[in-house]
This record gives sequence, structure tokens and C-alpha cells, in this order.
Amino acid sequence: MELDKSYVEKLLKLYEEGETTLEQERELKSYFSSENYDSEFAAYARLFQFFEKESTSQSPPLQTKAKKTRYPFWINIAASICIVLGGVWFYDFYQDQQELEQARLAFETTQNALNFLSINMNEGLEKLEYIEVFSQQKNKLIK
Amino acid sequence: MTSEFYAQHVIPLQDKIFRFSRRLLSSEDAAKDATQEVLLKLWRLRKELAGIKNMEAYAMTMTKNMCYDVLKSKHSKTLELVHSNYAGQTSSLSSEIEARDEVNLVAKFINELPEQQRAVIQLRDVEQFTNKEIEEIMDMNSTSVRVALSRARKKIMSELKKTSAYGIG
Repeated sequence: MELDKSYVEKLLKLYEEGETTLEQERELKSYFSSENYDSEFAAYARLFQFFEKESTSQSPPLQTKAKKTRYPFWINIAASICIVLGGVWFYDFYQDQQELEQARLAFETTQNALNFLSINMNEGLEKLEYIEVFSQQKNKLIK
Repeated sequence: MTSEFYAQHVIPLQDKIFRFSRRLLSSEDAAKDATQEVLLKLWRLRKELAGIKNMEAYAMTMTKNMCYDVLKSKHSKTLELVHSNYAGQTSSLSSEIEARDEVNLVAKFINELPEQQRAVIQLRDVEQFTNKEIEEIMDMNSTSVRVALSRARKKIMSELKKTSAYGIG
């Protein structure tokens, strides 16, 4: 669009004062959207080209996501307390378990030891039977 | 019936709502959330919408309020909103790189304006609302709309002229 330079100048002045009508602003916009504006107005061209570009920019698609649920502030505290309590409980449980295991082990070792002892004892007792026989025979002879 | 009205009159406003909240919140993600909230709110109100004369202005007012609420809550949590590409950086290298991107440059200058001027210039120069509608949306009188608009435009132009005087871009 060909506009007289002095006319454009006048419009720009009014524009800066906030006195232009929407119609006049549209005139300026279309003047600057063509490439043959006066190079003296290059700075204005940028501005109007920006407006042009901005006015056609579109909103990105919005997700129809559910509104973010806002948890009350104490939920964090509650969760941490749960975790700590859980930890303590598990530690206790584990300790108990460990103790039981140790007790069982001790019991088994003791049992083994006692078994061993009793086997040896029995062997010893077998030997003692000879003494029994000997004393019987001795009693027969001596009376 | 009401959902038809919603589809015809509200859904087409989504882009406008998004652009406006992006300008106010300076963040794509925050703008997306705000847009969603506004559309949801309008959906809940769909039965009453038929009685509204200027649906666009109504939606924009709602968007503005929503964004201001977001900004307020961010401030009260002393969280700085992250400006999309240019979080108040002063490094000369990055600003030079930025300067090559002309669109970014204008956006940067707009985002450096005070909230109200940003909103007004967006509504007027991008969305082409009339001053009357802007008064209604922003709850301002006609003089303050014109003054805000003029200040915003002058500020941006002086910044733009400064950068071209340095021969960048």
C-alpha cells in the first residue's frame, strides 16, 4: 500500500500519543506489512510487524487433564512418620528374627555336643559291663 | 443449547485469552494454565453467558483477573516469575544474541513495561479492542487508558530507536 510519507509521519505521531483510531492503526499495520515502507521508519516497522505476528500466534493445545490435586501440607509429614515407624518396626522384627536364629543355632550346637557326650558315655558303659561280669564271677568263687 | 453457545462464542477466544495471559504472566506454561482455568470458569458459567453483551471483553476481564491473582500469589510466595527467555539478564553477549531476533526484541521491551501498560498495549495493538472496551476490561477511565497506551508506545519506540542507533539488527 502506498501512503504519503508525511501522512505516515503524522499517523505515527498520533500513534505515539495514543490518539489514533483503530482504523488508522490498521492502515499503519498494512503499510508496514508490505516491504516498501520508508527505511526511515524501520524501527516502527519492527513494532508493527511484531504486532502482526503476535496477533496470529495461537494457543498451544490444552490438555484436558484433571486439575492437579493439591494434597494438604500435613500429608508429607504423615508419610514421613509412616516411613520412620515402618523402619523402626522392621528393624525390631529383624532383630527378633536374628535373636531367634541365634538361639536356634545355640540349641543345635548344644544338642550336638550332648549327643556326642552321650554316645561316648554309652561306649564307656559297654566297657563297664565287663566289670559287672567279672564281679559276678568273683562272687561265685569267693562267696 | 448452552454448550453450542459455548462452542461458538467462547472456544474461538482461546487464542486471545492465551496471548493476553502470556503477556501478563511472561511464561508459556503459566499462560497455558491460566487459559485452561478461564475456559473452565466460562464453561461453568455457560448458562449465564447468553446474557452477556460483549463476550470478548468479558473473557478478557476474567483473564486479567485470573492473571493478576496468579501474579499476586507468586509475589506473596516471593517467587519470581521466570521471564520466558530473558530473566532480567544483563550479560552483553546474550543480549546481543537476542537483539538479532527482532521479534524477541520487541517482546522484550514490552515485557519490561509495567503490568498495566503491558496489558493495555496488548489489548489495543495486538487484539485491537476499542478504548471503550479496554476501559471496561482494565477498569480504567478513558484518560488513563490513553496515557498508559501512549507511555507504553513511546517507551518501546525509544528503546527500539536506541538499538537501531547502535546498528544492531
